[in-house]
Amino acid sequence: MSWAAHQFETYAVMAHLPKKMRGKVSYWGVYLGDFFPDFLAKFWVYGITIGGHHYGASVPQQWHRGWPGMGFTHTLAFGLILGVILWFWKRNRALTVGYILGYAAHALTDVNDSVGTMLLFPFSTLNWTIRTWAYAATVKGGKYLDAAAYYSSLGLVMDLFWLGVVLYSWRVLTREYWRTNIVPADAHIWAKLGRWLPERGLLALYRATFFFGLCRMVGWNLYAHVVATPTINGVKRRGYPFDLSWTGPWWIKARTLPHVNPWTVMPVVIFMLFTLYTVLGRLWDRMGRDERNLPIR
Amino acid sequence: MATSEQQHERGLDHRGERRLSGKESAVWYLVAAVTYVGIGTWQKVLLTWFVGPMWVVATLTFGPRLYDRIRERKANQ
Repeated sequence: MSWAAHQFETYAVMAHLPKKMRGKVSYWGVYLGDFFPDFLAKFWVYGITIGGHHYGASVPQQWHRGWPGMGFTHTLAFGLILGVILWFWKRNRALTVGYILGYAAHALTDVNDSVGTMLLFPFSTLNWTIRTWAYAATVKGGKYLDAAAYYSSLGLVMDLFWLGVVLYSWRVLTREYWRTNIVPADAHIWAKLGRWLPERGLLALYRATFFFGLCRMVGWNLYAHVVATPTINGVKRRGYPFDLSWTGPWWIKARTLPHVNPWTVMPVVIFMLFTLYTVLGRLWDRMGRDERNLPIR
Repeated sequence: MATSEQQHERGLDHRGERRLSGKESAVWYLVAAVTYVGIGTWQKVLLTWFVGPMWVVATLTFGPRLYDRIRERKANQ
């Protein structure tokens, strides 16, 4: 799984929209789309312990990304179905397109860990994974071990990559960009929030996901490499060791599910992303016409 | 009641609250980040998708308000 990458990619999506969509796609749509897969599936991955009894998935990777399981929540097909429902419910192309783009970003980013996602679901239940780092959610280790493994592996590089993409497009975080590109696409939501918050609070709300991504990255790294004192192979250490090799770190067994050949994954991901942008680009104008033809309520 | 143009000229927002300068804004974000990471590393249960965003919104909303009130009170003494 990816950690802060999912927070940073929402801004990266906004910063790299096709020209005709700039300033017109809902940031809240992108945020909800990116957030929804883990909102649906992740709570049971780590589970909760009450009175010494653990309630949660017995095989976290199967629950999170597999079938049977909640793996369908991390598929493009499910994201598209939810997008279509959203469109027929709200008839709001800014929200619908944003939602689908956010959802796709999440599902496609998650092919990087050793479990991956079912890209061709429901036609195939095989997972698609590049195996860049180890999927490390376990019943015993919970969130702590998962975070330590992620931030000791190429997962850290993934977060830094997405951070770099956002910082390269730093204008996306400015007040000017927020006023001219973000607010107009969701004017009624920001107007409602503006009844409760001053402008600086509204801007902080827009930047909040970036803030959270950056802080959780720093916080979990501090835990994993400074605070934690794990015992690995009988040796007590100060901090978990880094391992930036493929499917690392070496000190945890990479969880996996039946999957396709990893070499086929990246071309398919790029093709799917290209197709998605092309189709949404074609539908964009038609959805706009449908919006305008709605009777005034 | 002041119009929105008059408020804008006075450096006020739609609620009549003070707009922050770039530097002041950066300081408040830094305060939010340092306190959140500090407390979050100690109490990792706070490093969640709900608390994190609320932390920065609350700091930026109430921090300057509180600071202004304290400064005003000191000036009146």
